[in-house]
Amino acid sequence: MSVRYIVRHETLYSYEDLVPQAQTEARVQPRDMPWQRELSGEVTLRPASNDRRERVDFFGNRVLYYSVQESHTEATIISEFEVELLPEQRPVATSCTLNWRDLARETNNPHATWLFEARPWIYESPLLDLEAKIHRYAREVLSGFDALIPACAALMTRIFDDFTYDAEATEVDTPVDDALEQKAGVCQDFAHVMLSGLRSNCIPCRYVSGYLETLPPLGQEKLVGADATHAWVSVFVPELGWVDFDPTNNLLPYDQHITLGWGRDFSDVIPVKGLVVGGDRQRIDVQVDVLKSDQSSTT
Amino acid sequence: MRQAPSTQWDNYLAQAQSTDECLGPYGRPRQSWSRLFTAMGELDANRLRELDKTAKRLFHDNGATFHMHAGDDAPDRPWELDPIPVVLDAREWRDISCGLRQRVRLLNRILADLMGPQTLIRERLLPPDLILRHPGFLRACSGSLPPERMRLALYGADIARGPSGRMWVVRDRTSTPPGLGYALENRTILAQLFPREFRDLHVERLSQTFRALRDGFNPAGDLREGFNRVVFLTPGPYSRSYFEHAYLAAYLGYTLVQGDDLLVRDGRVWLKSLSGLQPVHVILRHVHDEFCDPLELRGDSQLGVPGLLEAVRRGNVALANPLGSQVLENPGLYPFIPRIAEKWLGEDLQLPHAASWWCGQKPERDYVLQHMDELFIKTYDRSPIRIGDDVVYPPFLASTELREHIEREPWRFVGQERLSFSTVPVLSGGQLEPRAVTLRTFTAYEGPEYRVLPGALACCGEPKQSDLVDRLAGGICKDTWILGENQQTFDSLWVERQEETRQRPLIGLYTSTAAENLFWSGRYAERASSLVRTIRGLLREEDQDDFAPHGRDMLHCDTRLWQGLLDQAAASSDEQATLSTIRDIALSSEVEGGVSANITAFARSAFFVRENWSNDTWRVITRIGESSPEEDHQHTDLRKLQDQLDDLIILFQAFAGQCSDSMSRTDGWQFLDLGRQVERGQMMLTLLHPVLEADDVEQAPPLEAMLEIHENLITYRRAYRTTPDLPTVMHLLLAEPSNPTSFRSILIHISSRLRHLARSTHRPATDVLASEVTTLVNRLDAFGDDNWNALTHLEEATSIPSFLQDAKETLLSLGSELSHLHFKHAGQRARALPTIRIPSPHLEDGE
Repeated sequence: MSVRYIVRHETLYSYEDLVPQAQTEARVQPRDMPWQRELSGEVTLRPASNDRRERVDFFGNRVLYYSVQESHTEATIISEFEVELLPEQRPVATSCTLNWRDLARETNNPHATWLFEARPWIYESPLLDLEAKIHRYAREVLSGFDALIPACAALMTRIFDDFTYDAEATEVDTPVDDALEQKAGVCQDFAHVMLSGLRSNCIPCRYVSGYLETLPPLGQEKLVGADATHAWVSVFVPELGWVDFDPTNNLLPYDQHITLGWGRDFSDVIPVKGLVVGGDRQRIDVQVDVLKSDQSSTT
Repeated sequence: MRQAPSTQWDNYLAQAQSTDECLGPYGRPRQSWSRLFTAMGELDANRLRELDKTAKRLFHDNGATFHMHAGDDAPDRPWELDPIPVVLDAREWRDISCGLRQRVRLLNRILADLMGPQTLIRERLLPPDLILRHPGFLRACSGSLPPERMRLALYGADIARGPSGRMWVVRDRTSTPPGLGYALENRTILAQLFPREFRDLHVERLSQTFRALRDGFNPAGDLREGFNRVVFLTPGPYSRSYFEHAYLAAYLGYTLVQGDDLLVRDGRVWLKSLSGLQPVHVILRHVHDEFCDPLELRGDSQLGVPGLLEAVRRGNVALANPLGSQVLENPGLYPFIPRIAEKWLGEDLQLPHAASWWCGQKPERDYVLQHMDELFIKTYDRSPIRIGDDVVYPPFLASTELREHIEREPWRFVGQERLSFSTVPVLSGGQLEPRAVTLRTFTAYEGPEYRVLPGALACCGEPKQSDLVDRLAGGICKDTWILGENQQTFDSLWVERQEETRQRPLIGLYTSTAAENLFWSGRYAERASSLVRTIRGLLREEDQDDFAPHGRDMLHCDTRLWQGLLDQAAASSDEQATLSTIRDIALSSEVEGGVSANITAFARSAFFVRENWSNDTWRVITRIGESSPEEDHQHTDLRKLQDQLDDLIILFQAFAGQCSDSMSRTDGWQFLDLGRQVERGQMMLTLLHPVLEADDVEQAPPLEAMLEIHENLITYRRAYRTTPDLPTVMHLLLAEPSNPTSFRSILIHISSRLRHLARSTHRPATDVLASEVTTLVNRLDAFGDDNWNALTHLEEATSIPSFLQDAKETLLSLGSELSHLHFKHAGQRARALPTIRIPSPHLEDGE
């Protein structure tokens, strides 16, 4: 079985004054994985840049660097691509019987065979402090379980139940502690809370940046630009690989989540970030469309 | 061996412990120190005090920094200079150098590995937490350079002699090793203090290493053939080390830049110079790794260059040291290094380090926790510990609290054996006292090998703090002399060799920022000195001097700078109130536009471009900058006030003399002089304005005072031998070609400066400005006797006032035109784009 999606992700910056120079780093191209491959893709820049270069960052994510040296008051970056998801290639989480306490213990064992691969994913990171409060919050849920996957799923559900989705409640740089206090935020906060909870309990996990296909209400046309970038969590399971959890929607991603890349937290995989000279007041508009392609197959 | 004759030495040796540098095995004086004692001869208390005083004065004259931080009363520099050098003999230094070279070779390989494949972690020679959790490990820098180019260009190591008599490595400095400028400065001062001793003891010269650093400075080794432009990147004048950066940049002949002076375009680094963008190939940086690129590293950094890391990745610029090298500044590495040396080099470490235990491992942590009182405990990145809103360094924490922190975040802590280091004699109150010492050494890449600087910055701790000596809070520093066996030849980079100058024609490029600061140094110097001369003229009147009987009327002067106060003073009929206002302008630091404020502005502008001044010029600037106002200036004796003003005038003349006699006519000088002339021209017009505008001659400011202020009174008397009359005075001040301070001469200066700059910076628009100024000169020359004589009848319109009005406007617009043409690159700072928060899709919404 495979599912194909066509994604269009447009970011528009408008400035009140001329910007003579801008440099941007974009992580808006999908990375290939056993259960995802890019079929075609293109990033369009306006104004065009004659200084663009692609590379792969420390985490293996695709990065597009570009600079614009002509004066402008509007800059657009549009990433359009088609991906094929092969959900059957995802690790089969149900087969895993590993006790999460064993995983936590092994993560602290300097002789563990996968130490190098997993250990860095329990560290604090630029946006995640791993304070005692979040540790207790997660511990309370985890301790009701033995097996890793159900324990993580329970934490995911707990966050989903406890937290209100509220775009006004938090800012880009709201610390996890505040989100935990308010029990409200957006998917970035949901993911950060879950990551902090797991990491502070020595369960290695990473922040995943990507998109999610949404469906219009029954009987209505899907609106253009209705989709959005999304974030979720991936947990390291020895000998199996990385298993995704989406605390914003309380589900295990299967064939609706399209991955751009991953890192320690949001700061490692900001979709578009940049520096400009001049410009005065600036404004950002983002439009995302995720469309299921007719080419999807069930065979 | 001959004993030192001095009783001071004898006293010192008598009290020295066995671990003193002066004493070798079996408590016998070391040969190197005996040689020093003998060379220095009789050192009685007086001589010691005298030495101390001279050293302090030289040290101070070199490095005043004019407290850039508001309300900051911290000392200019973190330490003081002690005049007695530390001496080591060349044989021992050879062994130390060998050990340092071995260590830097090893560190390079470790760095290349950690910033690349990380086999050390994969093969478990290093635990992941020690590196990947360390704040100095910058993921963005990983893989930015091929391993063979991941190499330290300048390596600093603090070493100290332990109880066994061996030298130990105490600390590695791999990111931006500080102190090289201080080492150079100390040497320069001591060579002046002890010229004979310096020569007789065959002290090894530092210049070879600096030459290597300057000429062979290409940390990438294979970056590119031909000329590589090197710039010296500093965090700027607000950094505590700015003095050192300016000093080093001047010595090495590199352009001193701040992040804002550079930009990245097409993946290359460019210098915003006066003559447009110039390519930069090598950056010797003193900005910490994470601050170097706000695009990829710390986004809030104001010190870096956006896109720098991308330029590094593309191989278009080399940084010294490479970004990411801070990962090696980690005392937790010490326990692991001997094994890596054995495995990779097949060698033992020639310079050991103090036994260390990294708490990230259980057995080591247990050991540290059991022996906390015997160990020196630090964090692996030397960061303080956060306690609420405070930060505290481990030695200042109660041991129970420290224990808690170690148990909570064990990977952050390292326990180190407390070593007591050897002591050296330090001057204190006319006596020599033993103080513990560490030597900061510097090792520079000189492809394919490394060259160790034969000398060091010796840092002495407070007494009884020998184990804390590497913290260096308010310590004392010394020069370190390596006593060679043979005569050393004089060599200094201050004195350029002819052939070198010819080979490197492109150094001395000016950034727009530097040009702007030079321009303003010139303006403020001129403004302050005009003001001082004016005030002195006013005071002469107050003092009932005979030649300026209407001095007080001069207060009508319409000067933009101190108009309000003068109006106030003039309005008052009270002599005392007038005098009090003048005192305020002359001495109060509170008065905006007063002498003091202008001096401060001058000293700061000059400090921003410290590297452009010769040492002598800098001494004059320091003196001017320190002519601080009296606390209780309202009660300063009038005579004393006049003396102070006289002194200031002499200092400003000394400054002007230095600038015109000893500075080469670079673009920088052109701007400095342009600033002076433009300001002088504006001042003149401002002061002459009321003379011409006055309703009748009686009310006009006295012509004698005008002449005095413009230093033309003597000229006038010699030339005319009459009481000044308006047409003659105005002609002398404005149009006389042979008068070097006439307005005409000023205009000619300005126009020739502008023409020079138009040529050298390839900006024809600057030529247009020059032509406008020349037009003014031509108009002046066209005035005949009729025009001048018409001035006597003030009510009659003449063409001269309208000329003055035009001239005023031309000079005013000149300032903004220059800024637009030449300085506009300066101060353009990039800022971050907003990042969008992820508006998360809710599946429910659609279901």
